Amino acid sequence: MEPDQILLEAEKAGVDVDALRYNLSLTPDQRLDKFLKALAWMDWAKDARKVEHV
Amino acid sequence: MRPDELIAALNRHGVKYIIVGGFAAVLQGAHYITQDFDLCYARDAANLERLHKALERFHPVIRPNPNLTFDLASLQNNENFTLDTEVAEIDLLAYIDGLGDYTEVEKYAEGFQVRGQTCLVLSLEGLIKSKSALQRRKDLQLLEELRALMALRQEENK
Repeated sequence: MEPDQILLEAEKAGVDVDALRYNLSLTPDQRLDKFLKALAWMDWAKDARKVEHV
Repeated sequence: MRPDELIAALNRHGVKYIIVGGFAAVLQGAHYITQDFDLCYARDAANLERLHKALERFHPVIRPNPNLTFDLASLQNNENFTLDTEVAEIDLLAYIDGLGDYTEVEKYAEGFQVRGQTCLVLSLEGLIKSKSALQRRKDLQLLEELRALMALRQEENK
């Protein structure tokens, strides 16, 4: 399959191709930074608790 | 997760390892989140010793049985481990589905420079082979991403 066809199929399957294109423009260090930031946000969200809204 | 410290310790002790799985996918550009740091390692006696020395400072605990001790004997007698450590949850794998043992996986590895450390990372081709072999539902979306990354690289090289 040609690359443009693969990308079309991937988009149909829900892949954010623009995000991947952006990631490829980053250095491995920058990819690692981005990943660790996302992980930190997940940890933060994990600690979130529902509270009574007044 | 503190991958920098882990990679630095593995390199300092001269461990033969390759970063595989989701973390390798991240370094290759995938838009993916994982809590695990998957490593394929060589099973020769010298490497088992080096691996044990490199990891012991991070106080590894074997999951799912924290009563088991991660020592040289357990490394010699078992191939795959899931470890809780101070720096990451680590999966130690002697064999990768779709690829084989360390020697085979090394054929699909690429050198990466990360935070001043050099390490071997499974290539997109290797990741696609291994994830395709697993046929796990949870890997399907990542597999689509890996194929798209490969296609983007091919476009770049045109």
